[in-house]
Amino acid sequence: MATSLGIHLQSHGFDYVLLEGSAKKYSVKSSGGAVYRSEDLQSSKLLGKLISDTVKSGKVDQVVVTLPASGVVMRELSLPFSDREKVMQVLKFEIESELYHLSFDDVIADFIELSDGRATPTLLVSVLEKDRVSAALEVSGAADWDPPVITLSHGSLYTALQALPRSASSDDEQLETYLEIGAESCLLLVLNTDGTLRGARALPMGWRELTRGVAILEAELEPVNETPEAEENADESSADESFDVDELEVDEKAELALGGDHSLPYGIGFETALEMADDGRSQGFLANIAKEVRRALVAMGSPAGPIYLLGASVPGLEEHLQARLGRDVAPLSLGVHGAQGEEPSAIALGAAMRGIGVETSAMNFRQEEFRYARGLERIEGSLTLALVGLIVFFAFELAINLKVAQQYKLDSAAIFKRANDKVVVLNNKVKEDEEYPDEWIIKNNFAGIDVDEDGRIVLLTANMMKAKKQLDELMGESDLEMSPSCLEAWRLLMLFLEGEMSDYQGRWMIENFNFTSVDGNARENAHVNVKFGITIFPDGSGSYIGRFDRLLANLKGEAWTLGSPTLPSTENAAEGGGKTGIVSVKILSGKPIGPEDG
Amino acid sequence: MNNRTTLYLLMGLALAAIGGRYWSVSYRSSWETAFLNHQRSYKIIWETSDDLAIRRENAPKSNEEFYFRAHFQAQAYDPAQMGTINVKMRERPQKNYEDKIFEIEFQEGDAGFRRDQMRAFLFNSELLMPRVRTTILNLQPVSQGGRGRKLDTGVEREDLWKITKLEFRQRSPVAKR
Repeated sequence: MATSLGIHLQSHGFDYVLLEGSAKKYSVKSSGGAVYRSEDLQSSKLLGKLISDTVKSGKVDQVVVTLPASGVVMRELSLPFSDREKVMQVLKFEIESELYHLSFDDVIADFIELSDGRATPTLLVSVLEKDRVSAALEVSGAADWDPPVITLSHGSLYTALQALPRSASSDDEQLETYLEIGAESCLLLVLNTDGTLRGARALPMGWRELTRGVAILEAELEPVNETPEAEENADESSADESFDVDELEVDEKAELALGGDHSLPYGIGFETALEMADDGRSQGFLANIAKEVRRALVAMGSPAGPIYLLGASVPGLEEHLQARLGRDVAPLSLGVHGAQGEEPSAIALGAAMRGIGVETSAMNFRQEEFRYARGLERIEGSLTLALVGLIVFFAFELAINLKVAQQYKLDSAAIFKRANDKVVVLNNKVKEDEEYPDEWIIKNNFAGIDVDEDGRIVLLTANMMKAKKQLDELMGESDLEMSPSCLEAWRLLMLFLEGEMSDYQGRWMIENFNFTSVDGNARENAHVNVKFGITIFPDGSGSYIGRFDRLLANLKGEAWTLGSPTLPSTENAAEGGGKTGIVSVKILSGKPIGPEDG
Repeated sequence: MNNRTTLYLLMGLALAAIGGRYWSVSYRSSWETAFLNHQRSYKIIWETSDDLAIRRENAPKSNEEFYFRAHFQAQAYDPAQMGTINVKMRERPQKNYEDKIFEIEFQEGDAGFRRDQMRAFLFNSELLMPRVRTTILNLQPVSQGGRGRKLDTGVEREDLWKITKLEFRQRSPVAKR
């Protein structure tokens, strides 16, 4: 259930109504008001605190502040259209000629459409000084509120009058005239029977006129709290206030632009004002009111019908107006009461009603630099800055990345060109040398092939590897088992013999070599059958015969020897006195090794 | 254009900038990767190219008999200085491969060769021709001026050897011929 706080912020005090409910059904949760002392006006913080302390609304969903219409330029304007957006685009310029005493840039204009039966729409334009909007926002801010709507009292009163019951169709064509007696101004509103506004006037005098010329010492006056709860807490508030004044650093020179007549004394409530006013002042006030009302009614075409009184109940006003205007005058209750039966301020009620959705007047002076910002709008400035920063940062990064990528691209192209040049050299050799088969040409022209710029070198590498594989297959052994090499067997045997006989003091010589390569089969690995004749001469110690046995034993111990070497017999050499024999051995020989390996 | 419109426009631009930034990071990253690939590939191409140039130079360009004969003759004549040779070739097909058997006869073989000559000849003959192995090698020492006659055992001799039998075998897979 939505709650709405309507505040009628005046120059001498304020009224408030806290509503709960919806546009169709609502109830007054609390209402009241207070008058200020002159020192309260020295600081928006003090005033804001006074208001928030008095209202004690807690969390509210909507706050609507309404300002008095006194001092506001009000003009009727006819335009050929009434669409709000279009009207707002031209309104200030249309009314500019009426603002001879005000600076165009220092005011805000808004309107209420009147239903006066004319063919073209008639707008009741109100022009409010920005200072007053600014002051109202300052005070609201100090009370910790940010009202999305700041309107004027005649707009709020018009809304409040919607609380009155109306019949859908009425045969009575009489207009309804309402006179609201306010503190610093009175409002005269004329409504059609269907509840639409026909005309409105703000009379530049209120009940505070009763105090004009009365000399009082403000210090003697107690602050007047009109809320029952506020009255109970008056003593406590005063104590708190004295403390807070020190805390809030009051600016002595500050003067809040809340409008109103500053020559009238502050801190005086309506009851006190009535008590202080003598008969002469009261009669003068009544006469002036009657004069102003008559003048306003004439200006509005002298609408017939009774006049209903709202607001402050000035004794004798009803009879006086009846006598002077010759019309029926009667006090009116809007039928909306607080929890304790009190009658809330009609204007504050109208403001609160607008907050919960009773839309009769869209008038809102939160325009131009005071435009209400919600959600995203509140951070619009910083967000814009952040976004611009973000865009600049990302744009820079994008530019840097593109530049670096471009460099990588150029470098890659240069590398590809150099690699391609190598391939071109190879291909040229193939083309120039007749012995080279044509299939050795490596494909390096990728025109007509759908390949990325960065994929060309991959293809070139693949083609190069293909050529290498082709040559490997031509030159290599693949999975084919080759015959063992006799050359390798010879090399292994010679290395062995040189090592074996290196410590022998006598002579030795090879008589012959027979190497025969044998392919592997199921029974035996591929090997080389070797037969070699060796003659060993005596070394003087007579132990040379044993060298044959040692040679065989060591030969058998070699890793590349297959099986056991044999030496069937030895016999005397034909010359030199040595022994000679034929050794048979099977050697497992692998790939041939270069001459440098021995 | 009001503030709200400007803000939305800026938000749009910011989103576009963020999108652009991510695209540019990806674009840069892809080209950085491509550059590194180019560097790696260039190294491979450079090395392989040099390797191919040398190996192709030495690779057999034909599978004909005359080509092998020329190869063995060239190795005997120039580096090993073993004179002229006769090469007889015969083929022995097998199930998965085919052997070409080359029987080598040295015209000046009776005078004998040093072991380093024979090693150089055998080594180059194997190395420079793919899939070639020495399959029969019979050596016997000879004396200088001995006209190739066999020496008795224990007789003093120089490092001169007569190749009494020499065969090479070149084996090729049938599918690769």
